[in-house]
Amino acid sequence: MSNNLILKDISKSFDKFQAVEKINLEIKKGEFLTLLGPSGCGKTTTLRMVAGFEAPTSGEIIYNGKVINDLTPQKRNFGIVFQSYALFPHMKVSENVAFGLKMHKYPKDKIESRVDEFLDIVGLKKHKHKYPPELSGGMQQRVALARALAPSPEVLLLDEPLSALDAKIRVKLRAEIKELQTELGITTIYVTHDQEEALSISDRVVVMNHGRIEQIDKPVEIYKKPTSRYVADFVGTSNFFEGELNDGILKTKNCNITINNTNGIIAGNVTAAIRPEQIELIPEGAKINENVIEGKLIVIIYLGLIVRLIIRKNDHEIIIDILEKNFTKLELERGQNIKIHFPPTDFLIFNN
Amino acid sequence: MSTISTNNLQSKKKIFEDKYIVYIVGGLIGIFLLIFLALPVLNIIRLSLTEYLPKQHEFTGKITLANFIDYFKNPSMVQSLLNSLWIAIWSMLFTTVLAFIFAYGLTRTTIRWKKALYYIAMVPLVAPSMLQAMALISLFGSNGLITAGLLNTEWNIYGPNGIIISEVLYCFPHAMVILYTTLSAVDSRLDEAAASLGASGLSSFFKITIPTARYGIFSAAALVFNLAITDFGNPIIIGRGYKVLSTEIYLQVIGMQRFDLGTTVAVILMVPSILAFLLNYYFTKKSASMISSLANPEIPPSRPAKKWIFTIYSWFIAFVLLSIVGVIVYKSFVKVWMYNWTPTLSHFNFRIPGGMGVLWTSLWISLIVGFLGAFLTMLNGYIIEKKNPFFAQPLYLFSIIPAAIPGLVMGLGYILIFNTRFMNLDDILYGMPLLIIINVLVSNFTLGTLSSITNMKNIDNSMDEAATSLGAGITRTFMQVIFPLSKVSFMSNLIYYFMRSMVTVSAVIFLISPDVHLAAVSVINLEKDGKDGSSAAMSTLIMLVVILVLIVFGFFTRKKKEMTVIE
Repeated sequence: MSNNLILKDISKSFDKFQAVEKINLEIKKGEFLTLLGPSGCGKTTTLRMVAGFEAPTSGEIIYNGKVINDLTPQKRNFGIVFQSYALFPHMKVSENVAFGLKMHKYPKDKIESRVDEFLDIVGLKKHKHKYPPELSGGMQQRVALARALAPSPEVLLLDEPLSALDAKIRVKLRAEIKELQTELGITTIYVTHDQEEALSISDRVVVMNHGRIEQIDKPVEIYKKPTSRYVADFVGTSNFFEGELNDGILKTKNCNITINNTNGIIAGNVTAAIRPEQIELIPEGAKINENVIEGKLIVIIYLGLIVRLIIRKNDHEIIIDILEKNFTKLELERGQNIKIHFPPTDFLIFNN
Repeated sequence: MSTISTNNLQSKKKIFEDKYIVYIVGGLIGIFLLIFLALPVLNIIRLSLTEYLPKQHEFTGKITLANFIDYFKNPSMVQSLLNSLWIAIWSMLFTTVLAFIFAYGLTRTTIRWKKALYYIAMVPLVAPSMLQAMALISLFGSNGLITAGLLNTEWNIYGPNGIIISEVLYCFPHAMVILYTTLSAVDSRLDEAAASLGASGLSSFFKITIPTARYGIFSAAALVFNLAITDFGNPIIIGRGYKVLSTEIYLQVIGMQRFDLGTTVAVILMVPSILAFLLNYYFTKKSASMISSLANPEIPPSRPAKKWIFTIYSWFIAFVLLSIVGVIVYKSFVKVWMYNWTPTLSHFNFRIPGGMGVLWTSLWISLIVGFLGAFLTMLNGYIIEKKNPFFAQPLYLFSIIPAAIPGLVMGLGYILIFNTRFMNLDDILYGMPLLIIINVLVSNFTLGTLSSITNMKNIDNSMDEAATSLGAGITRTFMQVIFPLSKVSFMSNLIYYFMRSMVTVSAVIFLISPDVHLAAVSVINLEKDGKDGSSAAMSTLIMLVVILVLIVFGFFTRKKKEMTVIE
């Protein structure tokens, strides 16, 4: 059975609030799937339905060919990791990890070695006799991960596991989770609102909005070929131009833009999007005439590897990312006028 | 250039002044507590160790252990200690278990009408502390509605059983509040984590819920123990010859003028009371450390069976608590309980010194206590938490001790110092019931200060700093920034003080004088004189006044809440 976990027409409403609306999803065995979206988009509710904490209002959750809607969380054997760690504060680290093993009636003599094994994997063996509040946030989340994985769950569910941590630790632990997941080959559903996290860790990303799925794709596709304005806006940064498209020319309030790849859309009221790093600065004296705009450089944001420039043309602001080394070479200053060029092939077009 | 330096000088002067304002105000609160808390208590300890001449009613000044030796040699007196412990332990066990199940229902199940149940559970707080005993006697006494009327049995409720049941009903809301806070603060994701790891509901309850709430449970238990062992109103009404320490103090002092035995028993009562307080304090701190800031208030729908069980249980408790009040209200409107059920208002014609006026005395005294108490404790919380002068630690210590001292002991301490033939503070102030006001103020200083400190912790430190950097001095900062931000906390302290002052008996029973009578004390006197209709009527009026004032204050608080922005 290759289709390991299937959500079929899953909806969930709380009183009058529709949290999830007719979601369809297939998660393959061993896959790392991320539900990405802003708060309130239904991603956590979806995860909690898979875990068994919430019952779907309608639809079926199918695991290995069986409908598991009515199975209690205890019987699903899915491991879960929460944003708040949810470590048992009255138990030592080792007791926390042993808890699931005891509940699953592991032989007593094997529990200790298995606890040690998993604490070793997350690098916390020497802290096994401490209580959770004595550990840092990152350590606590590692314990929670070990606790969830120790009883060999069939699916691992992670609900914003890194959101409560510092930026540095977040990136480090992210890599560790990915490594561990690949090593164990465990089917994983990961919930986050952080697009960078989603893109860097997942096999596939599900972008959600208002309880619906906007797009399911590999990270690179999500970034390079968003299928809606919403995804283009939520994942990464985009410049948007609204206007009338006709014969490859987009007429906006401020200017006309030539667009070569129009996704088959020929004419109509559309939004064109272009990523900041696709826009080029035109050096003095270069002879490009098409898709050129001259504007005033109003903001320079120094980000290290790249530098973000914001250019104002009439009332429109355009964001451009250039490499730091180029920025230094050009000796740009705030307030000066610069010319920019939109490559006609780098646009994405969405119907309005 | 010159303007800058003068400004600088002025601001330096301001900081200098601010520091001294803190010293003076904090110092005054400290001295107030020294005089009206430490002095009377230490004096009681001193007198319990002093030789006494019973016939002359005089302490000789000679230091001796004779009072304690006499106490422990007299089996009937030792019995009062054992009785008190017996009462306190059983009250503690019953109340904690009953309140825990109730609080669990309110916090961890999806039963309906939770808010109504919560408020009903708080009802005993608005009643004078002997109301439970009075109601139980009306139902289960020798002439009780159920015992004599329905069952026609000789069995009655007087004695230890009656006291224990009264204490359980009296202490229920106190324990419930603590357990409610504890259970709603524990992260319910812990239960989910346990479930996903394979734990059943029951094993999750015993392995996760109970252990994580244990400090709250211990803290509630210790508080109930303290309340039950120091309560005076219920045992004096329903005890019938079953002596406990608090009634013993009263009888020795008022009945026999034996100040030696009174102070000795007071010291003996203070030992378990202080111990229970320390445990309560310790566990409350521990409990706070277990509370997760990420606590998740959402709870999944409970299974129907669970819902039914908790609904039935909760409403049974609510029914009992309301019946207690209902019986007394009903009793105040019938001619003679059990004999003549004709409706009447005659019980409201109080034939006691002061008549109906005692109610107004209680009301205005309680309003003064309320405003003064709320203001003083807020000031105190501000100084301790935000200004942190060098004496913050001892000031904090003195501020939390009052809860450990039984009100009765404090009252006794007051008459032994401030109301002697050498000095009578009340006389000096032309019959102002100053001692009563101060005693209620000091007796309840702990909770007021602690809740003020919590409130101050919630106000961002930068508020204070922002006001200072904008040029406001400390008085201005307090009055225009801190006070407006603390209005909700101020009102809740005010209400707390007001209620305590309206219903307390033990703290004031030694302090009433021929000029000043209080409603709650009149209830006891009426009941002891056999005018149980009138005592019920007075209780009804007390509850009515408290509820009316709560509604008025509640109205203000609600309006204020919308305006208050706390970090």
